[in-house]
Amino acid sequence: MLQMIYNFLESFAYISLAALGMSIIYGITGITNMAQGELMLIGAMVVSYMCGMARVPFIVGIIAAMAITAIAGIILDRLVLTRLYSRSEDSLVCTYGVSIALMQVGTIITGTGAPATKSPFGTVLIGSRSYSAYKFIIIAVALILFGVLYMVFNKSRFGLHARATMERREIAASLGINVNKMNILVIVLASALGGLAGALYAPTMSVTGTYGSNFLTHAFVAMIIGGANPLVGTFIAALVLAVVESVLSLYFGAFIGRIGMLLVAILIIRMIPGGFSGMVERAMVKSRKR
Amino acid sequence: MLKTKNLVSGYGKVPILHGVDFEINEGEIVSIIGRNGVGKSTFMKTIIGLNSSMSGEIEYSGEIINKKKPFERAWLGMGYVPQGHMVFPNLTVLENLEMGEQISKNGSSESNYDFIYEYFPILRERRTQKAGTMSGGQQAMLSIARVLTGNPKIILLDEPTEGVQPNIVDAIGEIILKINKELGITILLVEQHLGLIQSVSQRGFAMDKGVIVERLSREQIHDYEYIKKFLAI
Repeated sequence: MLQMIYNFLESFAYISLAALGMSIIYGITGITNMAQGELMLIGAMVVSYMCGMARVPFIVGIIAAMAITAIAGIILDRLVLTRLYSRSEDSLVCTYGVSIALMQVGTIITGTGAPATKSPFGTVLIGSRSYSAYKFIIIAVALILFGVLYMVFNKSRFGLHARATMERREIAASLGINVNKMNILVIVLASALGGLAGALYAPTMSVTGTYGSNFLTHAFVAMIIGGANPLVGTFIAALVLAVVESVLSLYFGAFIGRIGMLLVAILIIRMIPGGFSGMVERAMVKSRKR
Repeated sequence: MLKTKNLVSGYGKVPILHGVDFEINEGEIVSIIGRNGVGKSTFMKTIIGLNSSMSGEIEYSGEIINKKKPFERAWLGMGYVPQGHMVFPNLTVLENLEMGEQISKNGSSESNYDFIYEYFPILRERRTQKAGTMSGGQQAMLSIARVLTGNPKIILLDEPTEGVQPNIVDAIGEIILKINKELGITILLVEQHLGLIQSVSQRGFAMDKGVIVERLSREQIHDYEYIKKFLAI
């Protein structure tokens, strides 16, 4: 049971961190950013070279990873994304091309693997089993991120403008919102989140050119079944997918766990139009009308 | 205050407006009337900048604003109430008002909305309600209130009575007159509802196939036989 809870939390954190940046970009700019995985690769590379090679403290590596991926996000926006706002299908194809190109660049730089970063914090013993303490830190970071992002999007002026832009872009513009500036801010935020996620998982995985593609399936599926609201949708999607994947993986192995997760995602797309956030919104409207 | 000269605009490369000459003076209430699809809403969107102009000029307070983005035009004091109300459905009434309010730099204290609640008492009661759950009439009021919080100099009202009950149409008419008289806001109204046009307009323009075909005096607007040829009556 303890193992199952641990697997669930680990899977939840993995899906959440992979999907948050992608979902935020999609929700607010209408762009499906398939290059989000490569932003995570950049974050992982920064940590690997700074901490694994140059022995810089891990926390400094994380901050640098977020800053550098934020800058990479701005460059990506100016060169590619700025022409693709609200063009979800077009953006999917274009950013997939960017993803492949960046993957190759990553492969050229890292070769068979970037310098390994030692996993911090060692292990903790719970019952008779030992668990990676660092994984608990990652789980905590995922949960804290949801809390922080909830506050940013629901209690700040930026959040209000972002949500309004997400709902009615043209009307927000006619009310004085510089929607292009809003898009850039959102892309910077989402890119930094990608950098954070990539950097956090760097000590746990081999950092090669294909590092980002490890996260892509989970991120994409969670974004699609989560629906338009990036926080509510991603949170519920990560919970559901993590339950399916962790239970199936425990009994039938990781391969079946992933297949099961994808099958459940197909069922959800079929049964819940608008994804989980659409379902929540409909439920709220219904309860208000009662 | 606002003037267009030979304004051409449309969607993609297809022009819908074929050279519109129009002007409205400070403090006026002016209507643009015409059947569906003649270019009235395209004209409004072009004025606020949501549609780019292909040629011609838009002059606002002595400045040519063709190149300005919609948010820059809003900051110049232009308020836009779109067709279909277009409130932010998942934001509360209060948040919708805050969206309009940012331009006026009044801060976000709710007390700043007292004057809004005087015009629209229902919004005070509903301020924590999600805007998308309100009736069409209440959404129409919210979309006008939202733009008022930004202290605009001119409001472009695009069919505010669309999908609204008759008794609410009368209320909207009264509010238009009040905000024009009490707040001195210039009103440009695109409308199909003849009763509302007649009750608020000081003069008007008839539009057909993307051009202004007639300038209408107040008397002509009140002449049913004369005006009906411009409307789908």
